[in-house]
Amino acid sequence: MNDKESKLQSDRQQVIQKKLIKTLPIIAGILSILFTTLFQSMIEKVFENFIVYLFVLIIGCLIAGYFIGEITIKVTYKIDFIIKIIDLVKNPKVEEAKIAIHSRYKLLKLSGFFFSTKTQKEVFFPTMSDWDEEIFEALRKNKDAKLFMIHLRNTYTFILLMWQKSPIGDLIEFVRKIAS
Amino acid sequence: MQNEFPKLSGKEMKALELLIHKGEMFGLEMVEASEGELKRGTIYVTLSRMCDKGYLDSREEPRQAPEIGIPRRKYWATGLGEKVYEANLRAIEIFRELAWGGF
Repeated sequence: MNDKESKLQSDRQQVIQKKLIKTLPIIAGILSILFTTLFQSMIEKVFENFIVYLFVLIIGCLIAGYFIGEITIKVTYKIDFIIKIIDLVKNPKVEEAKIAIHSRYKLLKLSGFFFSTKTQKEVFFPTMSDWDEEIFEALRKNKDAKLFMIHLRNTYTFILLMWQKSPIGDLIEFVRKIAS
Repeated sequence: MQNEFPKLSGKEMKALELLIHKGEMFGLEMVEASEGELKRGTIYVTLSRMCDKGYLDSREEPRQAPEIGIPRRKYWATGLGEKVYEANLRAIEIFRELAWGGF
């Protein structure tokens, strides 16, 4: 990641943090009123006076503040992740640019490690090219939402294929043939 | 071993049938055209085995710009493949006649 991108990301983090800080008092107010009303209705029947009401209000504010503080800290730590999800939802076309260097090609490295060049050329390369083809087809039809399912299905197929081409897979196939 | 009958499996029969009747095809096209008989996970293992036996032949088809990626592989049936397919079809017919002929 270059300097420009990291600066942009930190700017966005700051904007989100500011927004959270602005909305916090409102959420805290609403929650404290809810807590207060709840506790008040319960206790009012027993002690009908102002001090009890005030006491319950303070307790309500403290509890609400604690929960909100905790949630805010957790959210702040996960802002990076949230930004990535927002990016993906807002701009699914980002995936298009990533096709050329997509991590699925790492699977080919893995299969290349375990299997011969011939198997790689005749079995795994065509499978990967079908994977590419499905992605291009989805992009041609502007069906970006299908990309996730395509990746999921083809990853499963690729791993299944590696299993089938493994010695255990060959053995299972051999036993099946004898049985049939 | 040369006189042994070249028995084809169900998947091999289907692949040869498609290639003989529809001409050259990609693996994915064959999966789609087979309506569930050929699976994505096994098609290339089957095709590779058939290429080794000499029933099929294949070549790489480069992608057209602006698409990039691994070239696709196109398959077609060889003369031997066609003969073996016909022989297997005939064998199935004879078997059926023998099995159901009396009824």
